[in-house]
Amino acid sequence: MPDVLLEVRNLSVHFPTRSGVVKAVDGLDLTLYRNKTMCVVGESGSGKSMTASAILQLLKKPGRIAGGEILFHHKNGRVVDLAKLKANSEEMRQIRGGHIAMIFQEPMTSMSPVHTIGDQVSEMILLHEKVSKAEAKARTIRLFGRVGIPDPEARYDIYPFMLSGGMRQRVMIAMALSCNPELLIADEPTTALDVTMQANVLGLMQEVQKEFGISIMLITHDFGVVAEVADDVSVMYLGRTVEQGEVHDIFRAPKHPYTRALLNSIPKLDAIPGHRLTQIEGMVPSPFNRPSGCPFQSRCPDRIADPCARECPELLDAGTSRARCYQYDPAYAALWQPALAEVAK
Amino acid sequence: MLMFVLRRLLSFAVMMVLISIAAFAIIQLPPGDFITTLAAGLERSGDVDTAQLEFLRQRFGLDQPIWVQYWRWISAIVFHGDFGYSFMWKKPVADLIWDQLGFTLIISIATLLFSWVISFPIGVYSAVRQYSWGDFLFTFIGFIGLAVPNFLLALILMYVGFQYFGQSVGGLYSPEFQDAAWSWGKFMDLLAHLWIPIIVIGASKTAELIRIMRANLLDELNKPYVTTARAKGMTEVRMLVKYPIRLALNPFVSTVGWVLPSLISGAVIASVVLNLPTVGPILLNSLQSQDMYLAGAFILLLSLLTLIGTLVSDILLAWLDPRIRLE
Repeated sequence: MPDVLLEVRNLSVHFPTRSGVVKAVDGLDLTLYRNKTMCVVGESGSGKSMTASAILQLLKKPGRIAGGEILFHHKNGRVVDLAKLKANSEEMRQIRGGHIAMIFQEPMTSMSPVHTIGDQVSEMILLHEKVSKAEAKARTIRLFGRVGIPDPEARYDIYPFMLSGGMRQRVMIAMALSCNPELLIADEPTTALDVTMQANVLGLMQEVQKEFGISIMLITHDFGVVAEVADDVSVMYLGRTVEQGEVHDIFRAPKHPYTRALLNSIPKLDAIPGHRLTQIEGMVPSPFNRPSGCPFQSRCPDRIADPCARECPELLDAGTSRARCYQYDPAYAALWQPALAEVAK
Repeated sequence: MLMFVLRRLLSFAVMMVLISIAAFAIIQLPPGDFITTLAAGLERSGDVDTAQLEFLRQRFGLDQPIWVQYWRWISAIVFHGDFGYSFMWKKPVADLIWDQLGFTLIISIATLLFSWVISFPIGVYSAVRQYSWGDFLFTFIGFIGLAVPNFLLALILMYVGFQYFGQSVGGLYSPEFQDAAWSWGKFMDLLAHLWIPIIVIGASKTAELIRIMRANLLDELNKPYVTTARAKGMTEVRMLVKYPIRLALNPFVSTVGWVLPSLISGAVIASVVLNLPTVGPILLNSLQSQDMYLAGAFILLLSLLTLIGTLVSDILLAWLDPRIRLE
């Protein structure tokens, strides 16, 4: 059994608004292992970024954690529930940056435009460790060199706007690594970059993962990225994990109808020219008007009104992966047998 | 940075020359001159001495072409500090203006500091605690400050000062200190009088700055770099001071540039009501009576101060923000 680093159990994030409560994350389960890369995939609005923010208690107002546990396993075996900590408590601040570091989608705006990159990175070291300024600077320069910033000594005193997007994301990675965290949360780190830079940055992340021995939680909507870097995959839909498993199993044998539909909608090299891509019927339901039962039932090709519209199961063992679908519940599986037999013919 | 300052200084000099020409053109613009006004006055009393008027015209060079007049005027100012002669007050302009300008500067700077000191913490509070009761209260007071005309505020404060604090209101000194030499007592008396004009002139500026600070800081608070700073594990206060407040400071600094012109043009009525010895009322008077050298001197010096203010705020901005300094 691999070593567990972070367990999210039944997490809910709510945004009270004038027109009702938006359940951005609604009963989410997620398990991250040490030294592994977990990719969280899903459409816009599926709650991927909200989950990341919730883990570090960085939710924007009026968002708040409405329930559930976020269990962080320290190296010494102690387990802390991050969901119970106050957002600005000493312990939470130790976790932020010290144990869990985060990089963001927009390297353009994720750094202060009026402070030098050296200042912004060494500041993090000074916050978490008792070292002199000179030492923090020397370490920052070494890190800049490590993440592939040319002439790091000279770059220490320049400002973010003088760097390209890819270089800025490297600075962010250097910042994230500066205090040897155990987990790096990367929220769509390559979305704002061009394809060559994407490959560079992903390559760099994989390198430093091996070198520093960290886990990565990578949030993305790009299955190409998933195939490239993931060990495990968690597929999200409307604030829930609908399927979680190892990357090969998910690609080879997707179990949840939503995962299947997503994978079918990706262009393939052996596709017949001129044919339209398969699309998922319907729209993502409005967060104010979620379907009852399984959140995907309004668009699901395999839907059977009872039980799908009534309730949503937990993550069930579906053989190679775990999926939230009644097809894998022994009590209901028989309902799908005729349909499956049809497909088999 | 040095190059930036040098470039700004150069454009400052060019602007100053252009402004001096514009100032001179403005005071020359109305038909006739002070002598015409004087002659009209004399005519009414039926006692016109054309020869004497002609003599006056020649003496002040009013019969010369305009560029000669300009050169005479500006060279006397630059080389001898001689701003010409005020026809109305029958005194050299230089003797008249320094007192007024000094007071204007004192009141401007005091007002500026007052609005900064009040609006900065309130603006920060309102943004960080957006939609709290405190925010609503300050927003309410702020809008009142913006909406009340300052001469009305002046009248109310004078009434309050007189009725409840037994103060002699209006002007900057009590009568017993009016012509006294400088002393500790006179200084304290000045301070006791200064608060009314500062509040009157500063009220709307303060309210405006509160709104500006609040809006700017709210913008900054939603920027991703704030989340980055939080994700580093900084304490909230340290994070606020180092990042978003620092970035929201720019509009504050730029107020240095425009406080003088707005103070002079906006506070004329308040100055008249409060009987303040600032330049506003005298400038108005001198323009009405075509006292050209006096008006010219004021326009020139106020422009100079405005330019200096802008220069100072530009340099401060460049120092605060590398994007301005390096691009």
